[in-house]
Amino acid sequence: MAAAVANGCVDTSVVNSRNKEECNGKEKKLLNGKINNHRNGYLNSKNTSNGVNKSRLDEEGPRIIPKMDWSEYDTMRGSFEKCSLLTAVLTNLGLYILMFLGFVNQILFKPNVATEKNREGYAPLYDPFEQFFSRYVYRRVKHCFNRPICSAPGAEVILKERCSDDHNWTFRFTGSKRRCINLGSYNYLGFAEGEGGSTHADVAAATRHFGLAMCSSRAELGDTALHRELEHTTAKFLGVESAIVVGMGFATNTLALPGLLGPGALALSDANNHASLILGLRLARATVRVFRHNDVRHLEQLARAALAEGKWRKIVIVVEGVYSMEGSICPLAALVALKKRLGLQLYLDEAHSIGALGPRGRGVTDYAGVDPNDVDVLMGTFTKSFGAAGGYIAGSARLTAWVRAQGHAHTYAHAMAPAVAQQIVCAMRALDAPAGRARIAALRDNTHYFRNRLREMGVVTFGHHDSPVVPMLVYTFSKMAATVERLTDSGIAAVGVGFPATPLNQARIRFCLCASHSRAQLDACLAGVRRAAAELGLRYSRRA
Amino acid sequence: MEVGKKIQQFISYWYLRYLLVTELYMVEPWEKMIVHTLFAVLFGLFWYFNYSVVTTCISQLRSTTAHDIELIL
Ligand SMILES: Cc1ncc(COP(=O)(O)O)c(C=O)c1O
Repeated sequence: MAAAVANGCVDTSVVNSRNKEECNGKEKKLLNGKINNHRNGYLNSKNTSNGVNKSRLDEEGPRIIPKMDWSEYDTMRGSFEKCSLLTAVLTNLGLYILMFLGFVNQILFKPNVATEKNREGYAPLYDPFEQFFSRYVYRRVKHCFNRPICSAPGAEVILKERCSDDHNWTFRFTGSKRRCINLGSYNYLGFAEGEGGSTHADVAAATRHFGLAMCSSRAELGDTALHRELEHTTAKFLGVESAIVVGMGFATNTLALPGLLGPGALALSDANNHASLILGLRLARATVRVFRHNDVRHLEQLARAALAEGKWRKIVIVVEGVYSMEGSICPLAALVALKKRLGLQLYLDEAHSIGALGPRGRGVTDYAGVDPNDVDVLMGTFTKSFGAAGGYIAGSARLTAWVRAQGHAHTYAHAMAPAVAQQIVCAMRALDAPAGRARIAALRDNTHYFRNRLREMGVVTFGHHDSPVVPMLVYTFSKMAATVERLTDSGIAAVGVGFPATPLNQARIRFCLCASHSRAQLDACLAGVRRAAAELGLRYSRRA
Repeated sequence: MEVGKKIQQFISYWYLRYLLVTELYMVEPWEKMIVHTLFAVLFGLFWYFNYSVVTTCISQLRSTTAHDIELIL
């Protein structure tokens, strides 16, 4: 024990002295030997003012880095209307009533679930609060979640109807189906088309040629020309040197982050980051400090404090492009400027923004007018816009070589299925043709139209005007369930989101727009929403 | 007839809003009854308190002040 402590001490002091050296000679700094080799771009950047660069080059010894002037940048505020005090109080009161009834119910009736047996001496499998919550709050609205479908989730989707005889403990199928307009899929560009889609023939051919699955990891027998072509296409699509693809988006984050960061690294993570990023950072054993959602001032404060501590091997900002629960867009131009000024690194998860944002569909870099090479690690998924599955890490060739060797996905995860890879290649190619650009434009038009109409209706929507994810706040679980029921009755499939994914008193309905929705379909949806809002009292907005 | 229907609609609309805001919309019927009764009892107690304590206090206060004023005049 004593030896271990002594070792720890020695380690930190070594790290500290090396860090001091690095701080003194910033030009020679190899803070990010693995990743950052864009030093030229860094010095000649158009974003930082000349005076700053000069003083950085000329001066030796300790310097004071001037504060960022955030008024120069678009910090992508978006709209986040606060609810009134009355709403907040009533929402909390409702939650107390639910909890109270849950306890009463639990005392009077045995829950209709499997129970753990013979587990003396073992830790319980489930957290008591989670268990209580899922049985007595979540269970009551379970009919709004995980609904089975029986068609491709394109612009329309066919729901398989089900009902429950025992208050949602169990379900049975009624045997009927319902065709709904699909506002619940992340199918931003409409590439999820099922049979007869634009990519169908190529995908079928690839399956015939390469088979259904690779049955091995990329590093072993799962590598094909198709995978290499996909990586090449992805890198070209993003405008960076190189890319590596993984068969699952969630795993891309959780397996690549431990390869990139280690115990001496500090991650500055956005408060609303996705579970995969959080899990990845935990697995990496990096120190995590959380900054308020999209708050660049708070981020700068944390980053400066961390620099002053002088003990971190590297400091990485971890953000997403579009946040799927808030519908907000990250202020990338401002983040890149901050990162350059303070010498940090940037890990950008473009799961929802790739394909969906920017005039060319290149994601948030394209949208914010940032050179993709200024972002150290570009991560994204193919699950959303491309109608496929999987994720990528893109950046410099050194970065991808490192991730290939040190991230666990390339070596241990199953290679992507050829059909999926072919779908992505086709979709990316299509985006450079006129038809693909029309999809991007259609998505943008639909987004603006839908957001404007909702705002006129007087409901509270969150997020940035350009974000294709549109959360509509309903606050209570009951209203969420009632809204989802009403919308289903009007032939609209939308997703309700509640507690574990959002704060306890901010349940919401999330609409995801798609390039293949026609105006008539959107109008039908808006009419349905208007009816539900009038009946259930969802017009919370206090804006004129 | 028309008026009756209107009133019924009005009541069912506000009853729904009441269910939604108290989260009773999604609970089982007997649980609804518990909370309705609880609210009724709370309201009853509140009413009784107002009736027995507040009103008597106020009337006492009024009679004493009226008496005082009379004396002064
Ligand atoms: C930001 C973010 N990262 C990663 C993922 C995981 O992607 P996948 O669904 O392909 O596993 C998601 C998916 O929801 C996401 O929103």
